[in-house]
Amino acid sequence: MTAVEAPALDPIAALADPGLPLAAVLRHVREAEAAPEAARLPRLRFGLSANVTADLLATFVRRHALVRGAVAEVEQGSLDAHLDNVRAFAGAGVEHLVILEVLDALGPAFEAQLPTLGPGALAEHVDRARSLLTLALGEAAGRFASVDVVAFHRLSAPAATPASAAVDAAVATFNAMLVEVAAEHPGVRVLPLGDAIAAVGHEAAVDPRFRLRFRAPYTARACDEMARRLLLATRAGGRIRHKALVLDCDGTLWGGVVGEDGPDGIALDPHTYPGNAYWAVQHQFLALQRQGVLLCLASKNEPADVDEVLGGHPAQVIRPDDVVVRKVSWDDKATSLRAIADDLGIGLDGLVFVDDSPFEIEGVRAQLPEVTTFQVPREPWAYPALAAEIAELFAAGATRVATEEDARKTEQYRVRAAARRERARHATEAEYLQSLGLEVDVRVDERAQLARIAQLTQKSNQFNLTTRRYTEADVAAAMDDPDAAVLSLHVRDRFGDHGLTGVLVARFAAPAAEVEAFLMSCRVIGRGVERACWRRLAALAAEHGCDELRAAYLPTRKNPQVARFWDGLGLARVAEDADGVRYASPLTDLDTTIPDHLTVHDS
Amino acid sequence: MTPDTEQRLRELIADVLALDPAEVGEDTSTDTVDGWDSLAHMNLVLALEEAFEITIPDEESADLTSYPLIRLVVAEQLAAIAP
Repeated sequence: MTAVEAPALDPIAALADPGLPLAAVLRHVREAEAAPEAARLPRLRFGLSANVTADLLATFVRRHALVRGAVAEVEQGSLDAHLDNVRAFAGAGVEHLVILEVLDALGPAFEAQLPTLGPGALAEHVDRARSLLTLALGEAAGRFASVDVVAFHRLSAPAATPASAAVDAAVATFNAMLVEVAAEHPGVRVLPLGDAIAAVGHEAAVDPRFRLRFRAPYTARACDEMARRLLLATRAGGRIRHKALVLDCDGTLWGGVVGEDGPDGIALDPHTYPGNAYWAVQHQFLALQRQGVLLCLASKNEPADVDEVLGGHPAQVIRPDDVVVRKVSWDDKATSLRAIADDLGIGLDGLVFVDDSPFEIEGVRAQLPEVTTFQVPREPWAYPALAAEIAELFAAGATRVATEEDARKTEQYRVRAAARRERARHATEAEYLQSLGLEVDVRVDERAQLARIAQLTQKSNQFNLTTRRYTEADVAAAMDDPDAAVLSLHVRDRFGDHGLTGVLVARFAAPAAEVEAFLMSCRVIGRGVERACWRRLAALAAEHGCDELRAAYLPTRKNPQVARFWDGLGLARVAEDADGVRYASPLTDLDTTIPDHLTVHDS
Repeated sequence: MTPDTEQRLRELIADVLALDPAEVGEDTSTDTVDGWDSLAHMNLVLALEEAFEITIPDEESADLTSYPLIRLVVAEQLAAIAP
């Protein structure tokens, strides 16, 4: 299609042009949102709470949402009022909360004050900011699909002066505090959006006039880049679902062709060009794996050749254990990618594919348009920049305090992929389940797992009966309460350990016991594990003098799959209203049968 | 100011203030346009500077309250940078 046939009348296409002037951005955003097609696009509801005037940032968030096929509605909070804003946003149906606390706006010309501020005064400012953020994030807990706090950053250009160093030191101190506060609130992420200033250049990013006059420091270009990064980091509100990075081998992991050049002849080496380009890129990809991205290989090769490099080449960075699924065969890439998505149990839109061959890239684009593809640049020196771009796509810029579970993600998906392959070998589901050798430990008030239990309540949406979110403090309080119990389910099978994958919170007030929360990680759905904990719960209820069980199903957009869960356990519906369905039955009606294929340890 | 530049100016003001370019005329001002607030003013300054590659000085910036005044300020700044 030529430019003449495609006049710039499509505002969404026009918005994708990075050089679009501000006036045109304003017009196209308005027009695109008003166009009839926009009514069909998903809505992303952002709430922006800032201590600076950031209306222009909202405009660019709307722009980048449109570019990614969504319409953003951005609620702007009042200046310097995070707590009130959080409450108002929650009431207004905001899903994605963004808190922007700019260092320079913490006090009048705060960056200019810093060099003459004593350490005591600085500590007071840090404490004050900590309290404000803690209050706001506490209020936000469980009320938003995502909560992001922008990392502290400087507005003044860095210089080789003591005053500039004082600003850098303060930025570091405030960010250390922020990371601590974020760690106390499961699911809260720290986004380094201030890096956009360096990316754009200080001159072009900060407007000294509006900074002093209207407390609006960011230029349109800075807002544009910050919004682009925000949309990537929030994965466009779930519109970006990349989970796995699928890599070709020859020409992608290393230079040359292992089948022809032999393992000793390929270009892969820390010190000399072009092998050092591939070596650097492998480190970049491995860093993604450490952040929870699943690495897979799709290569047309002899498996033995690839194994030899992966396991034995001295300069190879990505080792066999780092790779979840390997498809090394003479199948076409589309077939391999389909098989990889299948083994991992994720959609094709979760895959990012990198290959050096334009032929392969074209083939995948044509057959599997859902897969995001990247072609390795012809010049190896340009490859690390491409790898950085790929990293951005995985929202790797977002820092969050990683739990042990994140680090183990590759292991868990590998276990699941092995289990899926196994399933293909069994005639019936029952036979398959039997063959898994599933074992479930049901533990009560497991203090050592506070963080993981709180995290699971924050993250589970699909298999979650009441979608109540708990902080670590909430979980600890329930464990301490003699009239409450927190049950945790640990699952393992002969393929490996799935870890803590289910949580039940119950309250006992004789004669009735009430299930306040019951949820499972989607990693283990479909194996009957959800039936493992009721025998133990019934015993606990009886110990507390209860002979009745109450429960509720509170519907959300994500949890319809459990709408009839309580019915399946034999509980009777006693009330139904807009909020949900309430159940109550004699404890003896609760079906505590444990499926044959489960071995449950619950004593 | 050439008719061409004037047309571009009208279109830019229309884009920023959500108007039809044909509506932008001698009586377009902060008094007659709803939504011409301080934020729109900021966007207007930024958009003018970007589109015409000029810098609007502080003392002029506060005067950008109507189409005729904007035309005057832009013409002055364009003349200042003319070769």
